[in-house]
Amino acid sequence: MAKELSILIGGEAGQGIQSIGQVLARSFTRSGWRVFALQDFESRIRGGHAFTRLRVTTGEAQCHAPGIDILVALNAETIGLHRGELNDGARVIYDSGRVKEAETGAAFLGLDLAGICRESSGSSAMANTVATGAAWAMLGLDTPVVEAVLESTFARRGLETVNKNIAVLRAGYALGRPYSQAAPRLDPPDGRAGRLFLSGADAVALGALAAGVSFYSAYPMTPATSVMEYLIRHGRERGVVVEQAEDEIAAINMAIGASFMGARSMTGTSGGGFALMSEALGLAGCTEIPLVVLNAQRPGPATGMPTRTEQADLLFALFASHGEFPRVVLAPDGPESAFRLTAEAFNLADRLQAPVIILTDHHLMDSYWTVEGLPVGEVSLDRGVLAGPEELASGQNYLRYRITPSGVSPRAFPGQGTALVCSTGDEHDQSGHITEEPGLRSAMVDKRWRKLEQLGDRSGLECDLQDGADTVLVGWGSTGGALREAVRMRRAGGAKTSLVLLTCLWPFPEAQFRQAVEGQGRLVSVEGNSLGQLARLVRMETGLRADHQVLRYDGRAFCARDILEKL
Amino acid sequence: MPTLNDYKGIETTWCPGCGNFAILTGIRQALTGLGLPPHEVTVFSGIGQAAKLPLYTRCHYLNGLHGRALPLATGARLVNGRMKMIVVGGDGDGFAEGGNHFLHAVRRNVDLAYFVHNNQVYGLTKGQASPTSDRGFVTGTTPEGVVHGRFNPAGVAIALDAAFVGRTHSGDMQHMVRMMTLALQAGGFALLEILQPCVTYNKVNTLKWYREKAYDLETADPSYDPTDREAAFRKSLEWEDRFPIGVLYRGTRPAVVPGKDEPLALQTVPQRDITPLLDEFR
Repeated sequence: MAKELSILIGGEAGQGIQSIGQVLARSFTRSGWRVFALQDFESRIRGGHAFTRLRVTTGEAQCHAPGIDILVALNAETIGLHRGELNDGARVIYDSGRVKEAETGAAFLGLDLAGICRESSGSSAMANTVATGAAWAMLGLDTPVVEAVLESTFARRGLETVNKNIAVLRAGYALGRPYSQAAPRLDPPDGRAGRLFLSGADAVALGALAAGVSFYSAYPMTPATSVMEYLIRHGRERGVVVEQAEDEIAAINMAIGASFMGARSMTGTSGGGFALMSEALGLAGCTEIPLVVLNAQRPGPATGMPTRTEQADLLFALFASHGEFPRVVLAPDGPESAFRLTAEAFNLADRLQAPVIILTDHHLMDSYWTVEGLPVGEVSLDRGVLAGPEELASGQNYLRYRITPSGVSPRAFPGQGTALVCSTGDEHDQSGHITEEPGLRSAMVDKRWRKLEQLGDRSGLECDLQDGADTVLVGWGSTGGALREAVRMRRAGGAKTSLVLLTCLWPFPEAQFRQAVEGQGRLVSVEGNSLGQLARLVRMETGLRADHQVLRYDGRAFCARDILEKL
Repeated sequence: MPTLNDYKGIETTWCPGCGNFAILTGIRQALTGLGLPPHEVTVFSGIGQAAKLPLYTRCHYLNGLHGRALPLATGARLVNGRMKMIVVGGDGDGFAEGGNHFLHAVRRNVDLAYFVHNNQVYGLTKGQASPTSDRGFVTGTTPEGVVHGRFNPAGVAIALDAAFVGRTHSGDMQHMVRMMTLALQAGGFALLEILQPCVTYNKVNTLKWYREKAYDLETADPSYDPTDREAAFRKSLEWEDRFPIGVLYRGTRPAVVPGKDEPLALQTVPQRDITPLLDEFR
């Protein structure tokens, strides 16, 4: 029996690798285990090499683990590329219809997936369901849970599809069954039902929906597109207008225009698209129009590696656009915080009347986690300071940019009353008219900066501190899962270790950060970029230097062992 | 009823004799003529002398970035179907920096009236060639004369099947106001190309030049059918010797017009219960 198992499903893009992974992972989740699923694919629609790596455990699963216990190979290349990762006692299921020269023997189970489909009166497109059945059988588990998952997965396509999938699943299961004795087995799960299995992209979209987003515009760009697709699928009937723009410049300007009118607006893209958006980011800053911007990072520069991961837009997100204006940059590390921070981003944008950037990456957007639930009950709506009835009736006397002690001016929307809402990206006076008067210019800049005080003592980091720690690991975003596990592993080995995860990168939570790391051991930053951008930010804001940096910039995500090896 | 004075804004910074003055007056006349009070009108603009126009009126306005007025207005329109929305800009703003957005705004056919002040030269940056400058036009950046082809806004809008394509010039107030009014009533994407003089930088395409070359389509050919797309396209190609003004084209494609009831943007932000959506992830 094992506390955890790793399953890798590999093949060409288009073979249904993701769906095997999804069905297995949901079945494990429903049965009470936790799963972390890593997606690895090339920037192509068909062919190439793609895989899903599932880590199934009775404990925590927040990042992938090296090694493979069950390898499902839909092509020969998968065996060649991953055989070196097989753990002792690992089993390999391969498609003997496609893999001609695979080994035979106890560890290798060749199945003619397409042939089995035909015999079970299913179509060859269901080959991956056969493999799912065989894999499930090897683990010595019962089929009903998988059948129920297939049912909910294919319900939309009709009863016939559901039944055919169940038939081929059973055929695969029967063939895998004899091999279950020798195959690795999992400890029984803790049996908790009702958990969710979802991606970071799902969580961002759900957070936006919960927060009442009513306008979303974007140009399709990996890995941000799934948010737009989810909002089209589930948002439209809930009153969300989603517009596919002609480019990212249009996308952000549309969102600004909709927000100017009063709609809760968001746009999303990846680094290259964010670069195009940066001019208009400043427009939102100058006109004080609330805006939520998702930057789901991928490796750059330029087109970089479109389906890989990186955390190299940190400093860019902080300083994107010309001139100076307040903004907030949030960094979720998993689905729960992606949900929570996305929902909060709308409130912050409204309260500060400023752009709020949510910085995620491919690893966070496209990986899947089993989570206990989402903090749905914590979502509240705060639209910030709005103009009252008297101001709404003030016609041309309404001062959109009234200079107030908080820096926030009561906001009116065009059409709410007679108040005329005048906004311009030129420097302006309190009424929104252009000005070049030096005193007024400085007053407006100061007014805008004052708004950041609205953040108060909002927490900008998540700490897990241990007294007398010799090492403080510092990170942000999607490295969070690997960092938490690295801390657990280090502590299990007797080394006192602390963890500081930045959830708000800007404004940098300087005082909170100092307090957290004060008196602790050496400072080690762990980030997915080559410059050590977080370490630079820490140095810029606190004067503290990282004693050591663990950097990864090969387009792949950290796992805990990668971090420990480089400490 | 709203009066011209209701739309009177602050002092302008335009050159004396600029065609923008007549256009500003025309917009005020068209809006009051339609009985629209200022708080039912929003004007969007980008950057350039024409794009300053909203600042000199009194109504809602959002003055954004160079070339980006159309996407701003598109986002606004999609969440508010009640407000009357006008986009103003010049030839550089609309067809150089904003060329891509222009194509897609016409294609999208959202209900917006787009008034382009076309003086065939860059004013704010002091006299360079514009996408609509005529071949041979000598400027600081084209000392040997423009060699590129002239961007034909009306022709492009007809090719993309705009709801309304009109042309007028700032030397004929009555015609201009009528065209503005029709554009505002078009109910889809309406391009109104307003030829205007730049007294400082364009000594060729003057008011006199427009008056001599322009002919009113309606009086010249009472049988002209603006829904005949091929005929309209042919009309849009006339330029060198004389050019037509009036309603060149009326598209018949359905426009994107959000409902006139309570605009989405003004509704209370919904506290959505997403719990039912979570079942998909179990």
